[in-house]
Amino acid sequence: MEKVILYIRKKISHQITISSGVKEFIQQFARSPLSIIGLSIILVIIFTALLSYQLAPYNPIEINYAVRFTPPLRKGHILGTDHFGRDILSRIIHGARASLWAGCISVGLAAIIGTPVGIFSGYLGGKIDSFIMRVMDVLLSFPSIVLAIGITVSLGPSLENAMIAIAIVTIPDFTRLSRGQTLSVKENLYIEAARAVGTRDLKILMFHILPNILGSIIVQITLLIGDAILTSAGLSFLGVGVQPPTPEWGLDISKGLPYLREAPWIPFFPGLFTVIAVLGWNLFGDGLTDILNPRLRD
Amino acid sequence: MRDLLSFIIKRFIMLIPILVGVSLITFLLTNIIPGDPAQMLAGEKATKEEVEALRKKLGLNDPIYIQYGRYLNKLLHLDLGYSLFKHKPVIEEITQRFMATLELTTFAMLFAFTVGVVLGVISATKRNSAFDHIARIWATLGISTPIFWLGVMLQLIFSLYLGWFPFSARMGVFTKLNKFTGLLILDSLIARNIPALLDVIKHLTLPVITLGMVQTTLISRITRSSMLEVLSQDYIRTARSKGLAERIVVFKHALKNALIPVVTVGGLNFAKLLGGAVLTETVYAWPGLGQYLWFSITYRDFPAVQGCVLTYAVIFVFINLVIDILYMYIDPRIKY
Repeated sequence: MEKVILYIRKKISHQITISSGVKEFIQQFARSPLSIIGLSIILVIIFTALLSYQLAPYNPIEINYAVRFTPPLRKGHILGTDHFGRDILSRIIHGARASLWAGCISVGLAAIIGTPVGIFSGYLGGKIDSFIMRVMDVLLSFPSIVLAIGITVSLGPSLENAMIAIAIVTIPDFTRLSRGQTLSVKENLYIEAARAVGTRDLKILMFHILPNILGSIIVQITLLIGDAILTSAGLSFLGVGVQPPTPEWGLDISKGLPYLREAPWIPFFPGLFTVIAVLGWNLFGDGLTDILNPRLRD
Repeated sequence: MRDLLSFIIKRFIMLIPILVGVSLITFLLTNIIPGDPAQMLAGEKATKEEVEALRKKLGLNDPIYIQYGRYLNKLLHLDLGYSLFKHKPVIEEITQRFMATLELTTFAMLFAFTVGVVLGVISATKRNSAFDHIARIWATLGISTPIFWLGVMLQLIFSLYLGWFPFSARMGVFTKLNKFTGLLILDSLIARNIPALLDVIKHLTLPVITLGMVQTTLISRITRSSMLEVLSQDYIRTARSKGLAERIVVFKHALKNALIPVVTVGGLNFAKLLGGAVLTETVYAWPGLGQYLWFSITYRDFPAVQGCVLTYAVIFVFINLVIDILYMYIDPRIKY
């Protein structure tokens, strides 16, 4: 009975520690207005992406030559129409999906692959570590967008392949970070203690090392999503990402270029929304850096 | 000096496995193509017989390691394949276009360093002032802006609306200039051709600002934090207490030391600049490697894409080598 009471007390105190930690985190976050702006932008984008079919006033791929090149705030088109008479606002709302998926899925995929590889590399050391790091050096020898172009051209132009390409070029960022963090965490006494009592390596990696480096990984994810959105838009701009007529911000900028003089709003608005989306992730990432990993700041 | 020489030799030896890895990746790019590489290389209009002939000619029926060995051998002879769109060796097109990219990236980097360092120093010396806040907001906006969109907007405002700068290209159609080096600014200086020089500068301005902008924001942020760190050092306090003018303290004592991390990070970010050059050249119809890559993508000219990707990686690896050497030269405390 006494053991049960002790166990419950321990659990409760653990819960209290966690909830006070979360409270402190929220308090610190609330003190940074720029981070709140960033988070608000992200939430609006997620909301827009999820409810795009309900929010968009028109079908984003419906061609209507009668209203082509309509300037903003005319004929019921808030942001105007493009060269096919498609409503730009509706295309931007639907384009939020591609942008969000490209950013989150590619960086998420890179984190899922890159982090364990980095942790294993740092923990095991020796020849395996050297080999993995040389592979990462090779991947880092390419300007990321150039390698992403090569991969997407090989796999075939599409949003899914662009996401795979961005994930591949982003993996080294996670591998190097998690390896570095593991190298420092594994020197702690509690890791030695865990080893001394016979804890298996996999358990040490999962329950002792991973939780300690998770903060840095989360910060890295938020900071890289903005980059991934820019790369994905760049790939679509060059014609190797999302294919027409699917709405995507980078693609819409490129398709508006021949009409730049007559209808500058066609490339202007998709670009503006890309800036806002990336800004949101960058501000949010900066805020998290301040709280979770102040040493990384600047 | 001997240290530096042995370091350079060591770094050259370390380049070999990296370059082999790079070649392996570019080789794999052909082999991960879903479907038939021969069909892709021959183009969509090729007949079955043509595809089969090409497969035999390229040895695509051989084991993969033999194919890779053959690819490596070709690379050692500077053979990057044959362009399907331009109908000439890829290496020829790349060498023709290389100087245009070199000129653009070099001036973009110079622009980024000059503007970035000046802004960073002002931000650090006027910490928490309105200028500092505006510079920080501008820096965050800068890294959030798609480079190709920035290019398009600059074209719209400064070329189409105001007419201050040309819309695209490297030089006016009617400008005459003898090319010696392929670097047009240098060529016009050598030829003492002032009208051509002015024309080239006008054409270079918008692409350089577009490409350099992101780097400017990064460099200004690093300069600011590095300057703040250096300005809090004891020797700066000593310099000030000696009664030296603030200008001398900032520029002669602080900036020199603050520049070390700026050079390193700025150098490492050269990759982004090379990547950004692909997009900038596409927007401004700049006849460099990036535009060639874009053409190759548009016309599904796979050997050319592969050749460009490899060239970019090789350039990048060598730039990093130069930066490492420069870093050791700038900061003699560094020992490898």
